[in-house]
Amino acid sequence: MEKIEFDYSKYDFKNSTSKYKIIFNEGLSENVIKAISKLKAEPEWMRDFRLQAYKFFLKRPVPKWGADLSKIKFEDMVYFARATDNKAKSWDELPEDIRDTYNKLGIPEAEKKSLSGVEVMYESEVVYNSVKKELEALGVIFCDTDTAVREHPELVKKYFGKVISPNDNKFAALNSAVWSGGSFIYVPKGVKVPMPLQAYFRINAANMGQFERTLIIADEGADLTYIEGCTAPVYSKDALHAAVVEVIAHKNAHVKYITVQNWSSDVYNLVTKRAFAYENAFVEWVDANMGSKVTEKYPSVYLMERGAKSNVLSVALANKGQHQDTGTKAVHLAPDTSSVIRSKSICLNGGRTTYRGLVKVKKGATDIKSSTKCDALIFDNKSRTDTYPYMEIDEEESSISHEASVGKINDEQLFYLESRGLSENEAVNMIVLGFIAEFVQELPIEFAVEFNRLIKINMEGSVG
Amino acid sequence: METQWIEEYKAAEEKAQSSLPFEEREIFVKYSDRDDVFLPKYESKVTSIDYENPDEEQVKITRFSEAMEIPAVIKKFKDKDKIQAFINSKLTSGIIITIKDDSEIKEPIKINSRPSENCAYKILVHAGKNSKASLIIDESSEKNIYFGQNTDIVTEENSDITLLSVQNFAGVTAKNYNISSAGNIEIIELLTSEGETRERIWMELLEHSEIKIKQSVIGNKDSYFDIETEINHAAKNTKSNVAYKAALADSSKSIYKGVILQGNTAYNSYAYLSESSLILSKDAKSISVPSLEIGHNELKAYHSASTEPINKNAVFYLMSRGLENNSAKMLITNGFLSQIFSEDTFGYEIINDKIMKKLNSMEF
Amino acid sequence: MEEIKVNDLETEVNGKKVLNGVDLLIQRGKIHVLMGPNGSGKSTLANVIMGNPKYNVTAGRITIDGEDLLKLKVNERAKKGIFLAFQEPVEISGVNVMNFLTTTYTNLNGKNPELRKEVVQTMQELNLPDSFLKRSLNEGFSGGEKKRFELLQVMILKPKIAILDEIDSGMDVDSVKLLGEITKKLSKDTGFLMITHNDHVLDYIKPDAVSIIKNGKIIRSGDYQLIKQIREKGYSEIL
Repeated sequence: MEKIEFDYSKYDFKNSTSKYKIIFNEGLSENVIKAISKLKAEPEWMRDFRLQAYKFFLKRPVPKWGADLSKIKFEDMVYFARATDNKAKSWDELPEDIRDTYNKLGIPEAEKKSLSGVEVMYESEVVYNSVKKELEALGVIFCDTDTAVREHPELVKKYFGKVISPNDNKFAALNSAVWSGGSFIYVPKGVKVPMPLQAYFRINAANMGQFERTLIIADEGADLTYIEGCTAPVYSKDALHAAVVEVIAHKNAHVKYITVQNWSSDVYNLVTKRAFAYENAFVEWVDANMGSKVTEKYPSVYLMERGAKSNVLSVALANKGQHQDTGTKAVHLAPDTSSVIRSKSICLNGGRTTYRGLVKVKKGATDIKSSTKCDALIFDNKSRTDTYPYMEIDEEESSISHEASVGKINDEQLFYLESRGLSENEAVNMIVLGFIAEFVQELPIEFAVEFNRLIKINMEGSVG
Repeated sequence: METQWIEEYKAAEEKAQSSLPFEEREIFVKYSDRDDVFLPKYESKVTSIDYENPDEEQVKITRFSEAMEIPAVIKKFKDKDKIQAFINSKLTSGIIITIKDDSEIKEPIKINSRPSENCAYKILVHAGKNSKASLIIDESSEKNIYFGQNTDIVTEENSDITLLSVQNFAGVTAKNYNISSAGNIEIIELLTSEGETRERIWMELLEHSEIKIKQSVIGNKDSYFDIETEINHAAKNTKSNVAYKAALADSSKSIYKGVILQGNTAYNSYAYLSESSLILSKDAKSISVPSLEIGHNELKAYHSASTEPINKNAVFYLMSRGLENNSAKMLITNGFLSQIFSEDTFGYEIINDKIMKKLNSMEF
Repeated sequence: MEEIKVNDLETEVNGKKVLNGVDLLIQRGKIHVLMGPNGSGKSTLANVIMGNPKYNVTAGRITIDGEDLLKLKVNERAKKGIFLAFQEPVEISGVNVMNFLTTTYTNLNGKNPELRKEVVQTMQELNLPDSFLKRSLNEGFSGGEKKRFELLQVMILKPKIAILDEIDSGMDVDSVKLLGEITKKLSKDTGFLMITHNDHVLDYIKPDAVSIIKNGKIIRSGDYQLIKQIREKGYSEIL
């Protein structure tokens, strides 16, 4: 197979990452960080930001309350490399289970190769450029974050690291020190983006970096939907993915952020995602997590001003050897704010799911409404599911409710469907897809179809 | 009371303290504090425990000072945290209640305690096979003292035990239950202290056992309740139903931590955990973490939690019928609590009397 | 498939004997009415024919056209053309009605591009609103809606033999009349085992066979005359 270099200029990421020729050796130090910053020709404030974050990273302990993270070897990681270098070089180099899943998902040959990083698909360039023109006409800025630092320094400086401080947690600190890539979006006042903004295209999504940094700003009355990830398993040689996503929804803005991720099963996926919702703003996180060895991800919304709303809908599926430790935080800091949380999890073949959520009502935040519903399906007695809903209420005038259920597939439902002619496997699939239907409805149709197919692949062999 | 085994036991517990955590579960560490309050430096004084034995034929009640050797029930359990060991190391008295196999005790066994100085004591209960009995434990003090109490309970197959505990202290209360049950057990608790209360229930359910817990706290002034319950479905065919209700006025605070464990031996088990708080004032605070840890699929587990302000429409309705604001709120609060304490609850008169006394003393 | 034959069937559920030697014949194109008091084993029989794993067959046989039915899986029985209208259909959230009907229909009878149209027409016939198609399976349906939806499945999936387990209970008078008319129409091609608690529906159909079950045993069988007798002399006397 011919090796093709990934040429970012084709995707209009001019001067972004294509000129980085150096790959650093394993390990992290102040010098490595300075060198990264220098290579990116960053302004001084960003370099200082990185160095400060590195100090926090060193001080912060590895969190112990969640999944087992003790096996992460920070000193063995490569902290900066071109995107292409951590991808497989040929189709044959990919692990068999990933090749198998690509085949089962029915992904076209050419796309399969681009997803695995083996080959690049050029066809989408045309589409991308036409979308880009349309966005520019609306005044929307949509580029990678490295480019944004150079081309829109005032905007970036104003918001970068403001929602998630570099001292928030060890992995946010690490990201802040060594981040590279990710998306930057700014939607001006009153602009409603007419199509969902995808993390470029599926192919680029697959090439997203190890420490990407995404920053989304919806100005007053703006409206946008952003989609990241893809249903195909993302193969990465990197053992650690630590992204940071910051979202700012100003007055009356609406941001919907959709993530579908399916990491290969040796990855630690430790992501910090948080949004600030100002007056009457509405933030939605729609988040699906599959694959990986460990995922720790709790998309949060801070309801900063009166009338802000949040909606978090998530699905986690843990198969053999996987631990999905996911959940959400809704922090009510102002009166008349509301939050809705729906979580669905499935564990099988010894997989483990954990829901960890926090609903917090600060003093002075009156007339709060918050409801949480967590449902877990557990397939066998090797698997495990835990639910930890934390509720901290400091204010009288709030109505907070939480409900959770754990159980296996209902025998009566199976019998009903089988009596209508479905095999046990088909019946299980139908029930499981019904279980997560509320989530899948939120996905764009092409994602939804693939997502359902992926669930079915995971369910194979789940019934005796 | 100093017999040989007690001295040895206390010394061992004193040692054990150092290696035990203040909070046993990592996920709850964030919500367990006031170490200095619950682990003070003090001398415990001898306090008397009064009891009434309704059936001396079938129930044997022995004081620690009369026991020649260490009771079997004590040996059944290991301390879970520092406070449990701390109280054990300070013991000033204790009683052992043994209920015979196949006995049915019609009248409740009553235990009363009105300490006026710092104290620590232990209640041990052993309920034999096919036995049926009830206990009422009434503990209170208006003095600003430290009250430490550990209750260890072992129930055998097919037993049926009901335990009602009412508690009202002005000072600090630290109470721990260790329970291992192969029978049916129901625990009903009403905690109305104005001081600081920390309570732990560690429950191990053996095959074919069932537990019901109804716990309620009423908080006013600076009441502080740190309540934690762990139900471990350690075997198949086990059932648990846990309900916690907190009515919180003034600057009171309730921290409720519940955890249901159903490991991979919990075949055919059922668990329900519910928590709800009624917030009666701007400065009241509620924290709750009703958790589930499930490792088996042939079971069912549910939990629900809610925090609500007092329903203003209901207050208005009652006031329009001529009630004072305070009485309207009292009535509503009482209604909230009666969702777990109904008229057929064991010891309803006692509970209702305590609730009414408490509510009457409060200003809403 | 032309017939289901039940021979000397004995069944246990949770260690308790429920059927005590039942003999019954259900034939395509004929209506067999099964009546009996509560707890007599009517629903058990229906569930055993469909293959509900909760029930344990301890003795006896069930055959379809001479072939052993008991060794077939639940879905294989459905593929043979057996249908059970449940007394209490289970709710399955997230699975919408149209999706369910398309999947089951295609699985049993192959693709049908006209299916949606047929379903909508049938729904009108049964007074079920269009919005029904988007709802989760049986979730939040009223008692009557659940029963009418079971009937709709009989009409759409076109089984060879349908067992209606107290489908008339919870139905209003008009629905019962409709049920009678539809059953009569379908019975040209389909065989019915109609399990019923009361005899209102029998005003609209003329059964070919009638059996009375009590304590897990068929105590009387006959034809339409048996119903006449019950109506004249009362139920208790027959029992």
